[in-house]
Amino acid sequence: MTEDAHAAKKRRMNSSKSQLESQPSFLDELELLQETSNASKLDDPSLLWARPTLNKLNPATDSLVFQQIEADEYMHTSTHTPVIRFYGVTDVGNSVICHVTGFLPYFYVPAPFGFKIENIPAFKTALENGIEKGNSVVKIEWKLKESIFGYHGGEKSPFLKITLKDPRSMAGAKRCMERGISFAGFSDVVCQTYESNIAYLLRFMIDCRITGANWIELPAGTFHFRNDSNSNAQINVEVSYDKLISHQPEGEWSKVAPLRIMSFDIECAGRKGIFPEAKIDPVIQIASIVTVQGESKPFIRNVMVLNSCAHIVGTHTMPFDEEEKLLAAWSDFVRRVDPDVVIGYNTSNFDFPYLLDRAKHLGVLKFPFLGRLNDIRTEAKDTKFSSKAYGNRENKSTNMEGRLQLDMLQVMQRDYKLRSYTLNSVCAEFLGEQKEDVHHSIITELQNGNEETRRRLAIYCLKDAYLPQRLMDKLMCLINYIEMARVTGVPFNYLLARGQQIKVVSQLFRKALEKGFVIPAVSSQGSEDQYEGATVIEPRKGYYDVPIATLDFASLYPSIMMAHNLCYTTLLTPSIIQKYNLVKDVDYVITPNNDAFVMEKKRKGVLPIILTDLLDARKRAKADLKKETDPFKRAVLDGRQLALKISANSVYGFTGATVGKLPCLQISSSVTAYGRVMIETTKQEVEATYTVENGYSHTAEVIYGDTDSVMVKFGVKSLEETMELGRKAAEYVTTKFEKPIKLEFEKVYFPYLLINKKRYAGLYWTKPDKYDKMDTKGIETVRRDNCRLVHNVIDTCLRKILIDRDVIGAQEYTKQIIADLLQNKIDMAQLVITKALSKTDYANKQAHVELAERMRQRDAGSAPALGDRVAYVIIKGGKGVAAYDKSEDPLYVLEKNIPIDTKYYLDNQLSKPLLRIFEPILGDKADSLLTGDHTRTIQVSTPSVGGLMKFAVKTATCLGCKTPLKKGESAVCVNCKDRAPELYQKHQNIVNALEVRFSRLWTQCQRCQGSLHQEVLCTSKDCPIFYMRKKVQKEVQDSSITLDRFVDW
Amino acid sequence: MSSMETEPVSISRRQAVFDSLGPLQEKFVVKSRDYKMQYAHLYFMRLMLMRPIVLEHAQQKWGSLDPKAKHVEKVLDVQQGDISYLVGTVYMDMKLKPNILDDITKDHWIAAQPDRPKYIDDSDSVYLEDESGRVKLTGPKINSDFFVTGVIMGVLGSEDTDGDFKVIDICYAGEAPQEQSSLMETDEADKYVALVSGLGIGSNEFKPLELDLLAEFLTGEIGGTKEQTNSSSIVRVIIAGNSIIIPDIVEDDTKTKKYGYDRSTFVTEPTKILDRFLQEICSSVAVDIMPGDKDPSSVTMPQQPIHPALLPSARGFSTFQSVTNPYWSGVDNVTILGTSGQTIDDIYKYVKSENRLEMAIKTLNWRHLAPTTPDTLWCYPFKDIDPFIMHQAPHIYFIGNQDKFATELVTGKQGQRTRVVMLPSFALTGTIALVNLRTLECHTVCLSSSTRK
Repeated sequence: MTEDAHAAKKRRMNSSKSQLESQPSFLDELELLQETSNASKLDDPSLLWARPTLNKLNPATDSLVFQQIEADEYMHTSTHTPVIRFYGVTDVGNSVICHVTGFLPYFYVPAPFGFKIENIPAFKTALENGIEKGNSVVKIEWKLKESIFGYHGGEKSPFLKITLKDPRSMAGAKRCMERGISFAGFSDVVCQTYESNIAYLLRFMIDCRITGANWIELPAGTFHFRNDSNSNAQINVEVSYDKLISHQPEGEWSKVAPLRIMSFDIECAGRKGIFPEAKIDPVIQIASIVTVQGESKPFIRNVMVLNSCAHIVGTHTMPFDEEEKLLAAWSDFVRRVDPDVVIGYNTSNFDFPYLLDRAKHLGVLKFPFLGRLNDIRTEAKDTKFSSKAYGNRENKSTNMEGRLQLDMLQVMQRDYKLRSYTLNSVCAEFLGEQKEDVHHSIITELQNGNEETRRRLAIYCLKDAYLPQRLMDKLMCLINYIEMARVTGVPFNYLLARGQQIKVVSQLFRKALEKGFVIPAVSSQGSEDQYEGATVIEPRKGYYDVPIATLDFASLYPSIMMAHNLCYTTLLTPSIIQKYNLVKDVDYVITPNNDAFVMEKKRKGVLPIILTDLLDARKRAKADLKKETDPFKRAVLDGRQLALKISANSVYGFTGATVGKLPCLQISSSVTAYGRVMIETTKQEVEATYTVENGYSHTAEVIYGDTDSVMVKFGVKSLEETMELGRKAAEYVTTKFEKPIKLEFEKVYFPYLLINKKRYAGLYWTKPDKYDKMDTKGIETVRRDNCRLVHNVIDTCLRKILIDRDVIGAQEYTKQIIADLLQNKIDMAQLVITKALSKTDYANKQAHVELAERMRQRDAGSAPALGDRVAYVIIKGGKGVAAYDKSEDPLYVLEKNIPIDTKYYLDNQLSKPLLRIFEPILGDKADSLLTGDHTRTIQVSTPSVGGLMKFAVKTATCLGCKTPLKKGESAVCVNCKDRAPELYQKHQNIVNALEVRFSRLWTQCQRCQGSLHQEVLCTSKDCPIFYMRKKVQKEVQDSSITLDRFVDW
Repeated sequence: MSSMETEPVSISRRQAVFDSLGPLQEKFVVKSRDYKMQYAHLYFMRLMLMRPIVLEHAQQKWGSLDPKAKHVEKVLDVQQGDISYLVGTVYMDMKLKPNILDDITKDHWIAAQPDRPKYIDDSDSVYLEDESGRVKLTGPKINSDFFVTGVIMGVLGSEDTDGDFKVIDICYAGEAPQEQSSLMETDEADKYVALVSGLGIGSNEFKPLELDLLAEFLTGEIGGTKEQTNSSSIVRVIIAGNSIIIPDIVEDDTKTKKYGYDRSTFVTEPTKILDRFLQEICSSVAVDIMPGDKDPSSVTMPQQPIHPALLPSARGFSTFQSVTNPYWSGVDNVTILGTSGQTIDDIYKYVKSENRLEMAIKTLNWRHLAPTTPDTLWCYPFKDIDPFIMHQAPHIYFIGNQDKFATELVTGKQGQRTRVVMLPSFALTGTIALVNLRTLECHTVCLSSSTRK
């Protein structure tokens, strides 16, 4: 609009305003809106996809700084040398691929006895011949090094450093040395190899002091551009490995680049009752959300839909008429948006493999190139992962060069112990909201409907794509993982794909390099050697109505290793003690496990140094955290201190892992032995010092102790006094131990219910005026095969006992619940048990599998398919009917009024956990909770199917006295006529309560699904509302019919 | 007694023509109940019936703007940057609304939280929704006014880059058309309708003496000829809810608990008192009794009539009617609509203001007397109708059981005149309201037995 036209328009507006007084006053605002809207109007949302444009970069004068997020290696096609390829992002968000050349793999062998530098050429030839591939040894050097294993008087010995051309020759060279090698003057020399079992990439990162996800700088003049037609990155450079600068993640360099995070979800149109198969069932929708790390809102929200789809506010909807086009468009989208991190829920095992299989089936040729390199095909492979900490897992992994993958399902399974890992229950747990769950049989219906129903599905799909992002933000997963990579030095993707050991290995190699040690490559062989673990002081079970102080050793195992200098490098053998004339308790100590370690003044161990570094760094991070105000920097610091703590604690486990890179049971057994002694000492010291004889009001008693903590009953009633005594005792006992071992007073439990070893509950106090929380250990409220009732009852009982300190109330409550259960008054949703149907051929018959089969016979369409969660309740069966045959679909039970086996719930679900809680309090009398008056009245619903019901005739009975009604009587009999108003009132109240419930439940579901005008479709069996909602529908209908019988009286 | 000294005068009760307003009133009666329905139908019907009306107003208001604003039929078809107007159902996203999920999952071990007086919170947001979806509304116009879930509303504005709809003007259905009241020209002496709410029989505040006074006043047994003549001009009494309040029964902990028996919570005395009271006044004047949230009746809206069998003495009179809440009726061509108060009590929770009269007037403008059904005001899941739409503007619109008496004569755009009356609880204030059927003037009568604070 030109100036003139604009002015003219203004005038016209003004004049019209004076003419028409009644014109709305918002016209100015309207015009303003019009202008700003035009400016912000975006015709094509796909313009947002590309990364920020690249500013000119001159390799001669500019340096290049980027955060590397992933790395891999490849062989250069012409030079036949290995090249490291870093993928990264600059701090303005440009993508980088950096090729690092010149770094060669190497390993060590000890120089054989009598070996001289002159023998090297002959040795080299022999070794080259021994390796299958010729010409693979680049050079052999004579180095003075020391093996990390054992103390050797601090003397270095000659090692041969063998540098290879190709990382793939490493295994052959190692085998060759271990098999025995012969060369001039030496025959069949067998050598233990050193540092030959570490991956080339990690070797490179260690030698160049590069940690996972840190910043790398290529100074001006050290690098040059590469023309890579097959690369999607904006900047492609090459540099020699000795020129790059690796910034340690401290201070300024602890920042995180503006990484692009894409979260996505797919929907496929399955057939009824069958788990989707990529060969048959089409992918119908893909929703993607892209967010820049550190920003609160996504900048791209889109959904690709097969067939038309109504517009969704704030979302780019893209309809496609063919599935092939949809898949091709999505892969284009991924390449254009070029995300650094790809997240989702169960994407590793479902979404990616499915998409790839589907694309292959449909022949979408350009689909499987989702990485940053156009010449590497994306494929899903089966991987097995086995770890002591995480158990055995079989997964699929999909390669996408240059993109990190964080499958939130795997993150959850790794880091959190939950009742259920469905996206639904995870969201309920961490985001505090229920998720609408559309059953897959409805998905196909919605897809086959019109553009409105597809829109509905698209919204559902978008939600599922957004939730992983929200979960990740809430739990700070990405930041915590980045910090873990930085602290331990391993590449980011090792964290999800590998176990705990590699993190310690990375740190150990780094420290060894610095101190001139070499690490033997021991072949890991699973030995069954078990060593004695931590000690447990026999618990004095009971309910304590006085404050119990808890004294904890801070970082117990790391501090033991530091205090007693336990390390590979300090381990002594009797022969070494003799050789160097070492004196006990002057030069070395004997641990309670009868192992000898040299003292710190002779040599400080590498592990204690690593641990000291880690714990000092943690102290620093915590101090910085206190000062920092910026929420994002706080998150980084918090992630770091957590990573440091976990790393410090995993060192001990590494030395004890018999199937490991470098097990050393002398260290781990000594650590636990010291730990046991310390717990015992603490108990003795406390019980000897805090006595009536020593002037204290009570004699202290240690009632329980486990691994690194002891629970002390000082006997005093007040919290303040207990806390003071706890602090004093911790200080006092600390003086009995070597530094840096420290006993800390942390909290008081009051009251405290000690059930058994590792099973207790108590109110947790750190300050005397208000308790922090209710803390429970080992009390099954998270076990998945329990119904919700168990969880609720146990939880309520504990609260009544601990918070209200009302033991009688808890018993009354328990009796009432049991009475309600037996009288069928418990809401059925509380009795539902859910289990995943993971396979159909279990060795033993299982309740949920049997039920799935029965449901399939009833209606194949709605029956649970493989991978679904089966919900069931246990119903009454005849004598001798097996438990697995008594499972039934809760909806079917509701519909047919099938009686529930309340006895089963009492005996098999409730009784054990209840007795466990009440036994310490009531002793033998606890049994009285499960028998007695309250269990005498039972009520069983009359089923509408099966058995005798075929012969039954329905008769209306009096609502007052249950006698059959005569003709003309509709509600009550003659004798109860007086009570009619009362009975009417009673039934009216029942209907009212149900109606309110009906209203509240159904309006809640409307809120949750985010629509008032559409019917609620959700069938989330994890949601506590689902069965209530169905049940109340039936109940309110039935009871209003009963109420209608009061026509008159 | 003064009447003994003067010559006895025979004063007879004035007569009025009663119209049950069948087409309007019958919608409040739920004959057979079917709970297979979800609430989506009710919202859908409401939108279907009211959207054309709101749209017509919107077109009048915004149809000829410059720059041109275009009508977008579906909320989701709004194009970013286009100035447009749309019509849909308001949805209030408020985290403090009672949430049954929280009640059953989190704090199931504590007694249910008492209802909050207000749901409002800084994080609340306003959405406009139709069958296609919903859009968030923003802008000063949204922040300065109050909204409740369920109102059908038109908005003018445009979608911003966040996908929110920035609103610069709002329109509602406006007051419904009104039947012409013929009484304006009559030369007859004035007639009145008496409005009472919250007799509160059985509650702590209940004063038997005041109830007697009320009965005497209504039947004309009080005062001199003048007062009696006044009383005789009352042609109808409407009792707007909460006539009976059953006191909470204190649990008797001393008795040993019996498992498997329900304790009887039935107290007959208040019902009997009410029955006697009704018997007394029905002998002299026509009475409609509506249930309120405390009465022994159904609890979801619309509340169904109190079962006449509970009032055996009163039910014999032809002048006695047990009716629904809300309740439509016509007296001498004056249309009357009233509720026992829940409709406004619920809106009150959405709004910062304390001015309940303003809220009641707003419902006239919304043309809907209970928009918050079913979101926060429990309601029967209607399928084909929305009984709460005001298809016509009443002449008298009363809300029972409010905190204090307030009234205003509202005049609509087409000359509709509606007397809005906020009725206080009789048990608390001793106050009833009389509305003049000719002039629609309204005044209170206080029958207090003592001076109140």
